[in-house]
Amino acid sequence: MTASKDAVQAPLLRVENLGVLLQNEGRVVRVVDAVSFRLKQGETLGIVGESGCGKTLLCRSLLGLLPGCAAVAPDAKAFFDGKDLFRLSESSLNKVRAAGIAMIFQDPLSSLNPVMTIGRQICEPLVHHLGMTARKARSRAVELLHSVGVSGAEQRVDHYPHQMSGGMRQRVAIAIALSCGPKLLIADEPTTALDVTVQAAILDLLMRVQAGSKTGMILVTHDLRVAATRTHEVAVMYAGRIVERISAGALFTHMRVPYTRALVDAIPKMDRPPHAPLHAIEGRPPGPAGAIYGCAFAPRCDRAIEKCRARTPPMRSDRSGRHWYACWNPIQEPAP
Amino acid sequence: MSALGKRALHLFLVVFAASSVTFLMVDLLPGDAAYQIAGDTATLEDVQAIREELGLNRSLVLRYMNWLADVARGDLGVSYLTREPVREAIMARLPVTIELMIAAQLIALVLSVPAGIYSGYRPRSCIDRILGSTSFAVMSIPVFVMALVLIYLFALKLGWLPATGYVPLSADPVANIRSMLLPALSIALVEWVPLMRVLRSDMIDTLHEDYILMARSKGLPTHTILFRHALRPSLFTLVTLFGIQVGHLIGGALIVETIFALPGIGRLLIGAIFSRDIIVVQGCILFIAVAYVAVNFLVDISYTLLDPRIRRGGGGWLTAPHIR
Amino acid sequence: MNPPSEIPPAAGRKSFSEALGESFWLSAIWLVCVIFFAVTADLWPLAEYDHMNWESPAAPPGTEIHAEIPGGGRPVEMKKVSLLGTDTMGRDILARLIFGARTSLAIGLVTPCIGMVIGGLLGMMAGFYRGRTEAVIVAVMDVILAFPGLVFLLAITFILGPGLDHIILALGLLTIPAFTRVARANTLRCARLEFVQSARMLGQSDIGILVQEILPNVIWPMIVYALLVVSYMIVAEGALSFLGLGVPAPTPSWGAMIAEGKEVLDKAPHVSLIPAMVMFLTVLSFNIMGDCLRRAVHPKEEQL
Repeated sequence: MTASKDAVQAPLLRVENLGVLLQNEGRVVRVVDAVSFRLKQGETLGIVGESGCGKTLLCRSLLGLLPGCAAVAPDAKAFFDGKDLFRLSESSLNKVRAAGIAMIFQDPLSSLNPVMTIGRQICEPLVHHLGMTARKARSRAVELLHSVGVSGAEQRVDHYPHQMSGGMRQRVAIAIALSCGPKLLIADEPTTALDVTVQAAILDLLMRVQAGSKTGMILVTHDLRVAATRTHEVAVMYAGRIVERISAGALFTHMRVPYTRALVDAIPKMDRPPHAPLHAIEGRPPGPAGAIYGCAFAPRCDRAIEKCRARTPPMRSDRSGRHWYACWNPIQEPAP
Repeated sequence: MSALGKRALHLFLVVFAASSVTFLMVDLLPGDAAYQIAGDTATLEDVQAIREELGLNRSLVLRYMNWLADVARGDLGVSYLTREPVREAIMARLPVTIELMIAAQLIALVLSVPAGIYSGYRPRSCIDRILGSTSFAVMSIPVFVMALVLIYLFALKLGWLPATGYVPLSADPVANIRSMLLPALSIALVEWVPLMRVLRSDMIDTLHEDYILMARSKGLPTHTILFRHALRPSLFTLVTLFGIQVGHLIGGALIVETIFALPGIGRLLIGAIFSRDIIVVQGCILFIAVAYVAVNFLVDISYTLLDPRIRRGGGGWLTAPHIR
Repeated sequence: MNPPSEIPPAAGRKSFSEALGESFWLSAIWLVCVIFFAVTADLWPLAEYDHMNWESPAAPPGTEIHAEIPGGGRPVEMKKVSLLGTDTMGRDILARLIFGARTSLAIGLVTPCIGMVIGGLLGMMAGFYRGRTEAVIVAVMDVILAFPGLVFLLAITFILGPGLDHIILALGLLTIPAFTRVARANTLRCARLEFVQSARMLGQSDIGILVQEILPNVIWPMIVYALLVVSYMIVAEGALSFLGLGVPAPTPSWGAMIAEGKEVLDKAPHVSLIPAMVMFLTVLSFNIMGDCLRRAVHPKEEQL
């Protein structure tokens, strides 16, 4: 790829060979490995996978928010706005946070500070990053709350998180994330901890926000249907690796990796006859304990061949160049 | 709020019982209290006079009622030796003791809060380890030893600060601070350690919370996160301990006032014990107990200020024998 | 390259003594020495602890002292090196330290026993019977706790007058609430457990259950706690003696020795600082041992 071409359609975020190392009782394990993807402005990348597959650590690593026992592998790169996020000083990373990349966490019950009013929590980045006065920040906070659908925003700014419902709190968290007009929004399972009834509303809100401001978004979820309907491209993760990257529309029909198909099959469907058995995936994903030889999914895969157990499959693309998958024995593309 | 009300009632009963115990001191003294007060050289008439004055001839119940009524009006009796009303004697010395305790606790906070925050922020770091082991050693130094070491170093060897004496704040603020510094430091250097330790462990817990991650994701600088986001939720145990330490502070003040010759309540009490001025002893002990219970009640209330979520019932009553 | 190192050392494999750490053993050695000298104090060729030698008051360590040894007919003059010097009245500091250790240890070791027996009994009753018994016991403890520790001590010693036995009694009283608390918490915890319930079903008497089922579960947390109390008690006795309300003279006590030296701190700091150091090391050792044991045994002390 030439430099000029790069400049023309420079992606918002370009992640290359991202690995996250976790130190566990004196051993170092790679919990995220060889993750590469690109994200364009205004697009949404969905990341799906079972719990423990490294989704959260992947997101946190981009913002430099890994826990003390984890670290980004030295050869990883993540270009955002022309800068490699992994090589920024803490102070320049602080400028990227909020103003460049904002994050929404899984559990709104614990992600808001219980002893600060939500108004103060929204105002903080406004004052710190945008240099607003306290009064201006406050009126902006009211606007923001209003825009994320919090009713009675004027009163709500002075409330404490415990006085609000889970859905409301997640709206507040979104307002905080949007406060400085980020170019990229990372939403780490933003609806998992919420009631089913408010999940859709929160996702709608996120879609609306994103469409309005052309931000890019990484939406982490374990719900395939959410990924298929709310994103442009879906990355399927298994045991710390991305095993398939596919456009959202083709997810249910054109998947080529057996693991993706297994995930799709495990979704309960309305059109099935009642009491039909669900297709749970046999076995459990490998823990981050041992070294993995070959494809990590091979022990649970019904299409596994000899090669799968010997060598890790590399990422390769189909002819279109937009569908990437890592499998030695992929599912055949259905006839057009 | 009803939990708080219950607690207030409970504390009232405790104070009431404690005052009764204090009252009974006179009767618990072995032998005749009047003889004790009068001393060895007293005549029979003297003893009789004392008896009359204290009402020792009357029945216990009657005396108790009278005493209680007096105490409720703030009348703690009159010193037999100096003829000074006990209430006046206490009030005259109270500012010294309060200044000493506040100064000591301020120094303890100034030392423990930054140290606790840093240790909690970087646990197992070099500084944390040093703080951890030295603090354990410091905790084993009794207040009176600490006071002597400080006198030896700063008053006798270096000559920076006076070893004894007290200058009122109104007379000369600088001299007052100089005279208070070593006494306050003697108490503070012992008391800051537990404060630091609880803050450290609470800080470690708080820093694992999601909202700290959230605050970091907002791109706030570390000091903002530590002081604005993490400190307040980490203060509960510290505040509890603060209340408990008032007991240590009072004990420390007793000793330190004696060593540094500060005219506070501690010296009043100790002096009265030596001269067996029972009315003064009784008054001081009652006053200290009531103040102590009141402060602990205030600490309970302060929880609600710290955390809007909770109305914690119960809270920090004492768990250890606390003499320093 | 080295696969064995990949297996983390199992935490449980550490032996008990390893888990305690070397600071534990250093402390233990110091305490054993103190106890040994305290017990065998009479067997050593020490100067008499209450023999005043006005010729050489506050002599620094290592001074040669003229000592009169009462011989057969008339006193024999001889010179003797005073290892740690003498105090303001010319008494040998080493002798006083060793005999003072008796006082400190007697107080430090006996008072927690008083607290443990009475407090343990009350706490077990409170935790076992609940209801009114518990309410009364807790209320009484709250009244004791309404007085700051040292003030409580002063009040008791004021009433009882000076004397080693009185001080032990006062300090013992002071520790009762804390032991009651520990015993009650642990009783509450194990009274809920199955074996106690089943003992009840089998019709075992209350006393039987308390002694056979609950006591063994309560005693260990109390003993660990007692180790921490020992150092408190030594310090408390020191404070009392320092204030002049401790063990009456001439019985030596570390606190009193420190207080005496205060007058000559400028010219002869050793008079005060040597006993201060000894007290510090002893208290530190008890603290370290208590802390190590608590961490090694790991009884989760419930906050109630």
